[in-house]
Amino acid sequence: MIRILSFAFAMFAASLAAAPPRSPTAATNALAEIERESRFYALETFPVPEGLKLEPSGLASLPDGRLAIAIRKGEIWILDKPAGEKPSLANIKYTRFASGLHEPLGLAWHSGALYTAQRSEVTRLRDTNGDDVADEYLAAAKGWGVSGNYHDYAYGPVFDPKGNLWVTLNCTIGKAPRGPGFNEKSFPWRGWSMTKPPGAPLRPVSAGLRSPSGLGTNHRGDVFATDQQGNWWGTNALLHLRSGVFHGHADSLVDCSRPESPVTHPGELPQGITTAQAIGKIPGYAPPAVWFPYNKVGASPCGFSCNVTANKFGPFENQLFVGEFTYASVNRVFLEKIDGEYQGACFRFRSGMKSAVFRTHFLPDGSLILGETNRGWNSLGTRSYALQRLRWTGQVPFEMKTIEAQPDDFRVTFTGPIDPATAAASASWSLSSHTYKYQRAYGSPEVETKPVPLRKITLAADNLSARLHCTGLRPGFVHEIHADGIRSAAGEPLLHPEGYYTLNRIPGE
Amino acid sequence: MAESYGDFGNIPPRLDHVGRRLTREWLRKILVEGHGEVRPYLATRMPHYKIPVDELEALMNALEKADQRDPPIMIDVSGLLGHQRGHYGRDLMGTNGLNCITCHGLKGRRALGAPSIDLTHTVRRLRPGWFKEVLLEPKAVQPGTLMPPLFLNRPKAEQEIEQIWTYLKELDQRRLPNGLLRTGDFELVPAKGGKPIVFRTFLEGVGTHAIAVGYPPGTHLAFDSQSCQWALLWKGRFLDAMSTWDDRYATPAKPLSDDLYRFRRDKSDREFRGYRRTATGAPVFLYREGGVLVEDSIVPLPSGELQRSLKRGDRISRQSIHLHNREATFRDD
Repeated sequence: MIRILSFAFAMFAASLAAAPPRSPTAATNALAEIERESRFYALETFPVPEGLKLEPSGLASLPDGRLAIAIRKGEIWILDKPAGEKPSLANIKYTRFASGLHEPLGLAWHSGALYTAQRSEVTRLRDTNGDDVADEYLAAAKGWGVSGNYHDYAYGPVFDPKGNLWVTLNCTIGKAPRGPGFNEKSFPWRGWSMTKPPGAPLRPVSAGLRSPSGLGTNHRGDVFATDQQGNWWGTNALLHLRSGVFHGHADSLVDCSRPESPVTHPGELPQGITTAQAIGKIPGYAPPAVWFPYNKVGASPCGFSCNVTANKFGPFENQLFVGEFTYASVNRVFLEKIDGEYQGACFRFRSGMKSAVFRTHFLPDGSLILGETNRGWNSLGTRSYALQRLRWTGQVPFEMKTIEAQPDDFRVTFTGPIDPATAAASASWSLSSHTYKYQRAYGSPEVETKPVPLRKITLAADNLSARLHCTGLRPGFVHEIHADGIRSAAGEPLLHPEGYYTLNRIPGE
Repeated sequence: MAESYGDFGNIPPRLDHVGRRLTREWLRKILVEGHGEVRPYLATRMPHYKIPVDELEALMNALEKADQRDPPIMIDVSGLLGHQRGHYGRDLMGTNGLNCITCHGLKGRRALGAPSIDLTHTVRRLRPGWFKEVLLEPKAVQPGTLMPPLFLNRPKAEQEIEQIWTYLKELDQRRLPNGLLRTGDFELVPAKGGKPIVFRTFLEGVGTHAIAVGYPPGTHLAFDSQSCQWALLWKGRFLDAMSTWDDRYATPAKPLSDDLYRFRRDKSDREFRGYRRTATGAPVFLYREGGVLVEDSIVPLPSGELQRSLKRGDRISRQSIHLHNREATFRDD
């Protein structure tokens, strides 16, 4: 995963060729950055007993505070003490709850049971006799096709606040294997998101997914997925899942002809256009809420969690924390709604994990559990899998907290007061915008890149935000904002001096 | 096998450069605890010494100082560079790579040829700089060694050495290299007297919705959770889980037996509802057929014969299984 996989890992698909740092200087710089980040967000590692191949693929808190962990080989384990003192094998215990599952790639606790998406169904697991081992494996949602191609991953589920169950399905990418017993002829809903309202059957929601390995809700209960650069995807993306939209990957469109499809086939897809041009040109096309510029903010986003910890995780309440596979790191997303549609900015957040960050989960105490596994793809780090915990140390990093779009400008809000002299100096800032090719071919370079001239900088009276009045904002483009010259009131540079805003819509236009 | 190595098979390793070769952890271990894990071919054993801690530390400091290399060998083992991936290292060590495993065993598995030093503990034992130094120029650094200069003229030697180091660091979590990996490393063996194994997988002969059931007496079954019917029965060994548990490509698992029997399938319309595991661990499959909930299980009787229990609504029936001409059929008892 460098892409994750298409595995969903992005899952990824085969591609992989991201470009993490290559030179010794780069390694030294990366280490220095990890050192700086760790002042604010501390990382701890859960030891794992020998013989337990704990490759996390799903994380869920149980009502009693224990943590359920789905693992890729098809089991669910329960960790008794995920929070609290520094974990050691003397003070934590793992017990096996379920086994024999087929590549579970998600986990949720919902009304008295654990739910996990296996290759061919969402299964509801319960222990009915009190021995803490599942004895009931009931089919909770199914009905999508499974060709046998390894990309046929199913991710989830997540439950939204109304109790609707959601899954995302990797598109097949390649041929269905033909072998004895493999008799199915069609494989509906590959590359779709699906939902199952309480008491109703599973139904398709949106089309155009590739390797949507991360699935989750934001603080409003809206449902999002991450997807992976590849065919039809110029770079990685965060998508708002909702009924009837087409996210961009064409393979799924074949199922628009099914009567249950809420998506109208957009017709032949134009070639030679950009993703910015695709908005409005392709009927039903919904651009990503956020593009993650490739190698600038990761190379393979996976699971993510919304920070609704009442500030126990620091100053980024209601933001999404996105596990990054290739770079073994976590990125951060701020979302806002413009004209009823989500868009927003992404930022690097914390690096230096032991392996690919595939799953994230906030514990009730406000620490973020990271489920890491890189088997089959690739990541930085020196372990093939790990379970770690990221805790806010109580110190506030100097960061761009949010970037908000305004009719004529961006408002950048910081986590602490800025030094007005550096913030007001236009030399402290550098802005540019770019888009991507919308194409069947794999990935895309950044195209149509242009500097965004800064006309004026206005600082808020409280010195917590700056408005950047720009010339030539381009809707549909990713706007990069670099603020290397800014200092905090205490003279500190930004921990991560850049952010990337996906300007699908300019407010008021 | 010491004879294959000449003096190297009889004489303990030279102490030249030991201060930049071994980690402090390993030196301590050798001097205080003695050791014999890494050179299975060598009969000579290091005696144990009762060295006071301060003297031991002083000795190690002195060795480190005396054996410093100028300039030191630089190697990046941060895991923060793009090429430092454990699986590349695994490929290099295996039979399709540099074939290290011809001479070096790992994790208790012996080398394919005459075994030289076992590499399981390498990252605890060796300093990374030494590891690189010896791999780049084995004969110059350890005169008389049988280690061939495998990295000579390899343009990416430095990166490859870092990849091998990463793999050895992740060795406890990763598969053995090709050559040492054996069929059977991932075999599922239902334990005698234990519970049956229920295992969902892509399965040859059944399809993408298979649920395999392995019973300790050695007769195994697979249920197709798509069409909701029994699909396959076989006798002998159960399944190898490697393609399901450890492969990216999800190749279908195969029954580990040729003694296979197919159930005749029908096209009745059924809807899968899941399964429950009974106190003995046997799965009872649940599906709806014609509006009625069916509970369907096959379990071995004490006699070893299999018996199917079928509950439709309130009606319970039992069937035996008749095997003939590679086909399995149910007969009402």
